[in-house]
Amino acid sequence: MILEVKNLSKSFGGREILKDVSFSLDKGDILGFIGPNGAGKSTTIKCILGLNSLTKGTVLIDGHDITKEFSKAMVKVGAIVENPDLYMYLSGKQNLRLIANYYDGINGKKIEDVIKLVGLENRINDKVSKYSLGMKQRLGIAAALLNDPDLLILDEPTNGLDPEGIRDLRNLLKKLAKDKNIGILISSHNLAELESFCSSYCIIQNGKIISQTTAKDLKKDDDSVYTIMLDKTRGVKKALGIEVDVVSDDEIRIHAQKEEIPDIISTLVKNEFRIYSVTEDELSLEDAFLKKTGGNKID
Amino acid sequence: MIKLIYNELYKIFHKKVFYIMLIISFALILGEGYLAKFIKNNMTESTWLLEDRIENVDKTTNEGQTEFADASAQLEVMKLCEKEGTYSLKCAVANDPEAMNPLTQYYLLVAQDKGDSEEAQKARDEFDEVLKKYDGKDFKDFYGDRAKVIKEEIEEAEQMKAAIELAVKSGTALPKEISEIDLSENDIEQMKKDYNNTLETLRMTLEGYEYLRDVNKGNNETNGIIAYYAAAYNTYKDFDPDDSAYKDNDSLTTKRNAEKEYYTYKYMIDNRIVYNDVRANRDQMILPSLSAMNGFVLIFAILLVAGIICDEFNKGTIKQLLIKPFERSKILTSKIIACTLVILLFNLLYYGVVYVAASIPFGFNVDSVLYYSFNTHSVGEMNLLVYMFINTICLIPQLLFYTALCLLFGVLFTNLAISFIGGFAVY
Repeated sequence: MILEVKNLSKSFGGREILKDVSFSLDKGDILGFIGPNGAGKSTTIKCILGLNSLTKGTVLIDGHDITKEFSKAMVKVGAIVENPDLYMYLSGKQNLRLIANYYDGINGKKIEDVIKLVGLENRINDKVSKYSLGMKQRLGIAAALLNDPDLLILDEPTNGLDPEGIRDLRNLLKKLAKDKNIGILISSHNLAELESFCSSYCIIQNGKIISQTTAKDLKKDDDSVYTIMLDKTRGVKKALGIEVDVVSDDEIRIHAQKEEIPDIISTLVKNEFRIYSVTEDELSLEDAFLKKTGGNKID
Repeated sequence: MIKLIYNELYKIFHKKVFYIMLIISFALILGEGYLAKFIKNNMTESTWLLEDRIENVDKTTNEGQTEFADASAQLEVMKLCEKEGTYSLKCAVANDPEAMNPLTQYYLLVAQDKGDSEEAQKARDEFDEVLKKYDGKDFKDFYGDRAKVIKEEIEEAEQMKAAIELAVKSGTALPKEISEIDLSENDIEQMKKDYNNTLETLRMTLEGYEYLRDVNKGNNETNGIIAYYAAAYNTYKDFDPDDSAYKDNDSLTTKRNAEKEYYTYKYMIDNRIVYNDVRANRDQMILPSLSAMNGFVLIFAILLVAGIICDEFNKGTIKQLLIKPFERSKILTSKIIACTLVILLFNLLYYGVVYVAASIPFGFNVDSVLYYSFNTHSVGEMNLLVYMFINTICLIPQLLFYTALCLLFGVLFTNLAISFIGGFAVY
């Protein structure tokens, strides 16, 4: 267990921002931290990194309590909080050198490796003030990876990246988690980006963890949507006696549970419908997320 | 810890403000030097003001005639002084009432359209005679004569006072003219002071004369120093600590300055220090820059220190710093140490810049600077660079105080404007 958050609560001036937040992350796992704006994602991350004090609860990083052994806990942590915070008047390489100085045993080769990893070789000697947002993100990730972290915390890392950049980042993170056995906590409100590579999800709303589930469980919670291709659609509503979404002349869509499907097929056959195919539409992460959080409302 | 300090130094030295402040101070002082040089070379005393007055005066009234006479006499003497040197013997003689009075009289007659009269010619001759009287002579004769005149005046006044006292005692009626003369104790005292001052000036002139034998022919700088010395002597010796007019701080400062000047000029005359043009101008540039523009270094210090905390908060980079495996106290300490080092270095660099910038217009001769100790009334000589270095070191406690203050403001408010204004307000 690389990260363990237990009963974390945080209040600002009497207003409770986080209520009893608990979750954990293993090495090699990627945890997607999902929630609408203002749900408390950034606050949680700041609490984990010691940037905000904890009102209640404990945060253990690699078994070290951050309030008691801060230095030990932070040695193997890399993070980007809110924005990649870099010194604009320095070049990319100078920024990395500064960060390398905070840790023991980071040599020039390690810096070169990290630069190559994020693909910034050509522009690394330019001033950061001349970088695009995407390049700053890449440099921020390079900075977070310099100390070979066991725990990588990324707050909205895909901001400003183009689709290619997002794909690269996704592949990079997957590789890091697998090859180097890093635990990655990644927060985002762009669910489509998290969909394909997180091993588990933590959903937070109004400062409360609604659920922590694996990717599969999140989507297979309730009834699914099935698309049925037939020769005709006239009279199909009458025959089935349930709500049917008629898409076109030869296609319908229904909400049903898995066990009901054989009965539906036999009813259709009895009523002389010819069935070409029945397919289960996978519920998108976004659908599942909106279903869980009940929209995007903030109290 | 050393790496943390190194990082802070690295960040500061990559900030433009550090170099901009040095370049600005260099440009300012260089510009000031060339401006001073230009003024010295191209603008002499403002005779135009007098010329203007003479032209526009209304010569039909009595007041107008008097004004015309005063201004014309002054203008002629000023032109003479310009030709002979401001501190030359001729100039001093021409400024003396003995010469000035007949000249004013002459111009008064000119104003009354009697310029060609015998009377006017007589006044003119009298002025020329006074000037001629000191041809081939020197300051010691001039001051000697002057001291003699004042001494005679004192004797006369004392005699008259005794006569008046005697007359009052015996009940004899005083002649009308005498009873109208208001001769108080103070007037005699003042005359005695004048007498002493003249004697002192005479003594210094004699010394100066021994030192540079062509004083009367117009070594302007040396004569200038003697004149400054005499002026400082008057201010310093006349200073009365019980006088209510001298109770405020301004008067005390005047007194201290006069005291300093008195001993410094005395030292220069005693020790035959050549005070040439170049040196005077460069010292005038550098020494005020050292004291008055200390504020400039302080502004930089405040800006830097306020920025080193507040900037990181504003740009968010402080977050990256705080999640590194260090105690917060260590991070703050490293910033304090780095700031202190940079400010000390900047202080040294700044004075280097002052020296170079002030030397470019006037030349790079290595001179000594005179310093005065108020405790021992002694004057010493010191190399200019050593003097500047000591001055720099003396600024350090003040700098450290403001560094600490601004760090406090920076940590409390994390706002550059508040920290800067706060630090500067205290300054």
